[in-house]
Amino acid sequence: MKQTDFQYINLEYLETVTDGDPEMKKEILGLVIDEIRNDMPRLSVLHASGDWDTLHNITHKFKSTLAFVGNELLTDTNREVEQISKVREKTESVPQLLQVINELQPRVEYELDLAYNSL
Amino acid sequence: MDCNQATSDLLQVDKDQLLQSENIHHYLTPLERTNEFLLKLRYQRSVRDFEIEVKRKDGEIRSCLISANLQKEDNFEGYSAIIRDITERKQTEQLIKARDIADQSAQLREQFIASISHEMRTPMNAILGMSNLLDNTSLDGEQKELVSSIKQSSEVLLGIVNDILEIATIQNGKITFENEPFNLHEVLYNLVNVMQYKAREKNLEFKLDIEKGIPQEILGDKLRLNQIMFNLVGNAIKFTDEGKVCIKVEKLTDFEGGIHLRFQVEDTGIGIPPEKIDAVFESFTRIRQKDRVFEGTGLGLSIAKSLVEQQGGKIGAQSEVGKGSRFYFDLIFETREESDDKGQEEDKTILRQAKTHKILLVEDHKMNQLVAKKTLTKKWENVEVSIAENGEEAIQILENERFDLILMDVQMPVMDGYQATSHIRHKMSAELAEIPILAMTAHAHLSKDGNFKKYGMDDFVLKPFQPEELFTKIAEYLNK
Repeated sequence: MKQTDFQYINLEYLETVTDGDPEMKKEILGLVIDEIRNDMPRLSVLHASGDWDTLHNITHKFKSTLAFVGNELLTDTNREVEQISKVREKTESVPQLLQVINELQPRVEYELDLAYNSL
Repeated sequence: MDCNQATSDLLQVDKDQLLQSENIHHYLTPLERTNEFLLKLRYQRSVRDFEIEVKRKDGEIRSCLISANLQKEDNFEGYSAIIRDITERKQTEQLIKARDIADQSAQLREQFIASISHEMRTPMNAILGMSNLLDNTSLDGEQKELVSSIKQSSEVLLGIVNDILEIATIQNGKITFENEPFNLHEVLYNLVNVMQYKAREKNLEFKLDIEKGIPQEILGDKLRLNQIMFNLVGNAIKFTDEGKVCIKVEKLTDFEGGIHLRFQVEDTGIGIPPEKIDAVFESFTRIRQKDRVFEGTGLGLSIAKSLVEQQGGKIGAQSEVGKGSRFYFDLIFETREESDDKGQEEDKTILRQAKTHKILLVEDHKMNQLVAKKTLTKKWENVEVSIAENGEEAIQILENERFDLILMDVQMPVMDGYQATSHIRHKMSAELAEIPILAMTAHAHLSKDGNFKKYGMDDFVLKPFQPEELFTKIAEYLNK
């Protein structure tokens, strides 16, 4: 598939890191999809339960993962949640930020699946 | 009848004796040809360049051309003729014909070999490719071994087919040489990186020595140089069971716009007997040792020789049985002025030492583990990456194993990167405390104002990392 087939993801970084190796691309994409599918929905739960440490840990890990997704809005929003959960200031904006993440997640996941299956 | 001295010389019969003979035709042979000539002359009255053989007195047969005109006057009927000895011309023609036939058959043979080899390569590649795919499926131990045997045998067979194809191409005169700029040092380091696995399997010392002052970038045929070197180094490793294999590149002379280089591959292997040293460059020559047979086609050195000589160079060898061999070749390369040359810039990601570099990656994030490990081992074949899930595990591993560099994540469970680095620097042996530690972190603050140094780290790479930046920093520390 070509980059123009996607609206929500950009696989340029994946291409750079793997040097175009399809096997490696598939392996990394598989892990990215698993992480987004399993850990992203946990962000709202952790926020609701006030577990800022785990929220910070997961969003921190996502910084590397989201580089492969290549969605700027998702990357920036995640970074904001990571910062807030670290310093625990301006926490009132977190629900709104998590809403952005939750809305983007299925779209990103769908396109990642498409990319994965095309490899 | 009358004749000149030349006729007498041709027949090797004294002229007087010849003039007395009743029938000169018995010197012509065979009889059927003689009769044909006389009949033609009778009916056509004139014959031009009729090919016939002359039997000399001593029995030697000479090829001749005879031209004759019938003479009829009153009661006289005879002919005047000129006979020319064309034996030498005939022999030359026959030689040319024989050579042409030989050339044609050689060409046909080479074309046949080339076609067959080419046709064999496609299915061989398919067998190799499918074996690799099969190897990546879930197989039990025995199945894995069987697939591995298929792969190894296919690789050997593909090597043989490639050698045959190459020699056929060279002999067909179809080989052409590039004259493009390339990084000589990079080519040699890559060669060492690839070949060191074979050397390591036999516990051989493997060294590369490039004389100081030899330019990085030269113009020539990089692929062919690689091919020659692979042949020589591959042989050196193959025929050496203990000791070392050394590659040496030195400058013979340099001149404006060019450099004359000598490439040497020296080993401490089985050596070659003096009576066989000249034959090693001939096709299908294989060195045997008692009851041992070395795999190969015996084409490698013949290919190398052709590739060197067709580029105007020379190749040679010196050897002593039981002590080792030294193969060398000299080639001239064009050079460029360094000032106007962008390509001269050194590739900072080259690992200069022909050894395995061991890296400990301390990282708890599975995806980062995979990405870093795959990226590094894909970039450098001589890099081994071990993984520790956290700082504590890293310390345990370091107590039992030597590493050349540590890539340290910062935020980890159990023991984070700051604590682990501090422990390594202050509580471990002096040798371990000096291992370069590169922080690999998404914590941007670490990069500010040299903060990483406060924590005892030598340098840092921010995550998500850019491969070139990571390679450059790692190479910088591994080359120190």
